[in-house]
Amino acid sequence: MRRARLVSVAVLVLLLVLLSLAPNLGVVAAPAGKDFLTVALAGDVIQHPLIQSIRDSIYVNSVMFNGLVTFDPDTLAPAADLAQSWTVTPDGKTWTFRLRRTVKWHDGAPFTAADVKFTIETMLKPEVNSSYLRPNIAGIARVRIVDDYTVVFELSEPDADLLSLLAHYIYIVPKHILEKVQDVNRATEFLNRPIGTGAFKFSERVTGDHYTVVANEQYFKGAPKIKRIVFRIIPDANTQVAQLKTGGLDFAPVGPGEVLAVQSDPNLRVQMAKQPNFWHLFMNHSRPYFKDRRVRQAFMYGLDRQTINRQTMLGLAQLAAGPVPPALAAFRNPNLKPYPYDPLKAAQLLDEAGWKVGPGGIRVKDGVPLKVAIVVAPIFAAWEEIALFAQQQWKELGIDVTVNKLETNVAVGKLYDGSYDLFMGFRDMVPSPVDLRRYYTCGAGSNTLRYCNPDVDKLLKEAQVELDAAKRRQIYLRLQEILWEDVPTVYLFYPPDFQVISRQVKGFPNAYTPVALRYLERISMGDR
Amino acid sequence: MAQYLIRRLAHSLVLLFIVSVVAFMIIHAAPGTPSIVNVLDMDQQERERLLERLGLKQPLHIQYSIWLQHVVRGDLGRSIVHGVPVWDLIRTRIPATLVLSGTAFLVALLVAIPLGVVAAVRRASMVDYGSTAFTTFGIAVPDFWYALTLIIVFGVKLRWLPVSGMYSISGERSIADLATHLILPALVMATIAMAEITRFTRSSMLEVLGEDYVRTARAKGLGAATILRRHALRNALFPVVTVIGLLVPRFVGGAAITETVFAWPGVGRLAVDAAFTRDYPLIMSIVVLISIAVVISNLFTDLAYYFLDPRLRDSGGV
Repeated sequence: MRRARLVSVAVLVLLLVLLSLAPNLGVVAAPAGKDFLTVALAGDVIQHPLIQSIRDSIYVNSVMFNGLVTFDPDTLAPAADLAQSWTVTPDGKTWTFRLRRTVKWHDGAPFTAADVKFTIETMLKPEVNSSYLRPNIAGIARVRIVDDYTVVFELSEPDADLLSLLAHYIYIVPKHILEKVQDVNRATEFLNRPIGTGAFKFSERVTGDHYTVVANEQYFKGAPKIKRIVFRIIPDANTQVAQLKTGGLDFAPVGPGEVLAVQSDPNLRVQMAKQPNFWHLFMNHSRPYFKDRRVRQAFMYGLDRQTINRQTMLGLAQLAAGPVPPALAAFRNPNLKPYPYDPLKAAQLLDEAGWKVGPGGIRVKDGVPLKVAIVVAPIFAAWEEIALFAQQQWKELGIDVTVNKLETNVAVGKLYDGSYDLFMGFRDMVPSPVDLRRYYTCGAGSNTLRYCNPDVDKLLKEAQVELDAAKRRQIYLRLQEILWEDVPTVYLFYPPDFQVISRQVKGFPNAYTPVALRYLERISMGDR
Repeated sequence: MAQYLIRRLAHSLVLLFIVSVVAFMIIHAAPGTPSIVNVLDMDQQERERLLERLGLKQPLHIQYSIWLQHVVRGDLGRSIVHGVPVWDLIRTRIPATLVLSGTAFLVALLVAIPLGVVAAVRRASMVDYGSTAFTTFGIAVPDFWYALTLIIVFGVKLRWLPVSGMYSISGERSIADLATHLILPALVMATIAMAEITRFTRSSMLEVLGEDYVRTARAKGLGAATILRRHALRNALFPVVTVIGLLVPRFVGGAAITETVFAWPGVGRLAVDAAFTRDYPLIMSIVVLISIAVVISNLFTDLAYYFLDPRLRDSGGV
């Protein structure tokens, strides 16, 4: 009786497994000649541009709103958007933007300088929940309207990178609608019916299911070629893959695991866009052992990143030499090579720093063993694997490493309250080295590394006020040399943005997702 | 009867209050803060100020009492993460969950009870073996794997059924459309419920069939069908009613895993997301709503007993 039960269960399971391994038997996917695009969203939260911070929100807002400036999809340099030209005074403190004159909001009202002034001033108000965005424009002391199509920003101190910050973080919202709202943190009506200037306008939303936008025929860069975009909310990555294969999704940003699942599908292609992003293991500089540069360098030399890349990223990432990825070619120091895997050198450095191998194989100094924990949040599936590899490799150096898997909220909380040793993370950078200011300046608000280097601070300050592009580049090159030597964090990879795109989509920009989504008026849907 | 109901109502209110306090304490005991405060690359100071503005730096009993004051006035509060009123979020998701859970539940009952009865009556037959195999499968199989496999087989390979979602993205939201989208997720949820109900029905039935009064009925010369109908079934179904009552909260809460894999816009998924993002007002509201559903379902179970069991009626009440 027991045998019979076991056998029948086994048969059922086997049947299901065999069926799932069988080749596709069904008919071909989505009908040709469809005029809309379906995009995957993992989560359901949509915030409006004044308070946006969550990635999915930003994606959706990218098709409905514009900024003063945006990024060129090919060079990632600041490009015109609502502002068609701009000038800055030699002291770098006064920026004048000339705005386009023919732009209309989705409800037909004209876009003017008043909307720009309203957006910036509202975001700067401390009671508004634009906590993620505000620090980037905190330098704007005053916004002056010269006329309907000219607006002036007066900064408290010069900022040569203002354009990159404006392009990345700031979308302009309609004054005539939001000024009537009592509390912009609770603009429920505007969330239910957003009005922007973008290529697509809001059409329909079913919470938890989808968010639909339709073409804005009056778009100032030209009417979109497709009629609408449906953002489908599909939280599970496997389900997203299943939808991509059956034509239910046309575009999804994915990870290396999903790339493997779709790479042989004739209806899909994988685009690996360069992104201004790098992955690294944050080092907490309040920990006594990380205060010694030799220890930090030892951690770098002791990591076999080639192997980790091969095993966790399909070998498709580039090893990182510093915090400026190849996507920022204009600023990158091409002479710096990633640290090689040199465990002997690593051991030597640790010995020099006073960490001698003790009984049990763990290094000890002044009676204290070298014991670290890597905090891993489940933001990317590959992170846990990377942390486990790091644990293995560093163990060979005599470092006692534990991997601490935590929920994202708890993990990130530790980053901010400083109760971590190492943190597996990334910098989701603006396509410009301007972010280095917030991350590496001693005491800066986003300097969760708690890193302090006066030479670095000095160079960052110089770069901030240097308006000449060539001179600024020289400063950043020098800065990268210092950071290469000083190893403020364990640089890992520059991962590509893996984008799975249906072959029916024509003209999809070859840019990483946040920027690609700003140019969807260019795409059309055709036959494969 | 009216007195009984009023007493039950009073008890339920006290129960709900206790549940809300316990839930509140547990939620806040968990480490971590809402997800909008934990975006990577936030500014430290801004983060602290946002926590303050959200009212999360106040002592817990003050936070609870503010919440309670709002709730008794019918205001479920505002989602910290979504920024919209909690009720707006929940009310669109409840019908979705009810449709899915209701269908799954109905299918489960319609299949499981007859199956359990037949398995017990025709003990050690093919039907019995088959049902046991199926039950073991249903209880053992991880629903995540099961759901994905069904999607791959019926959605991707055979293209017979849609992969995910509640309706197709283009076209009208017709009943037929909903039905095809319901098949796979309802099957996943029903399988698990079916397994438990079948087993329970079968063992309960077996027990009843071994009772003295059944043997007496057979000795009297009554036919099998009559025995079943008049004596065995009603008695065997008592424990099953209990099991069903216990399953209801799970179904009302929605099966979060099924809803996640099938991208079904239900309350279960909303609840899990709320928990992971520490969206306190949303979590509290969902907990309270599920508690209300449990209270109501317990009431119905007790009333069902009252009507099913003559002994309770004769003894003068529940």
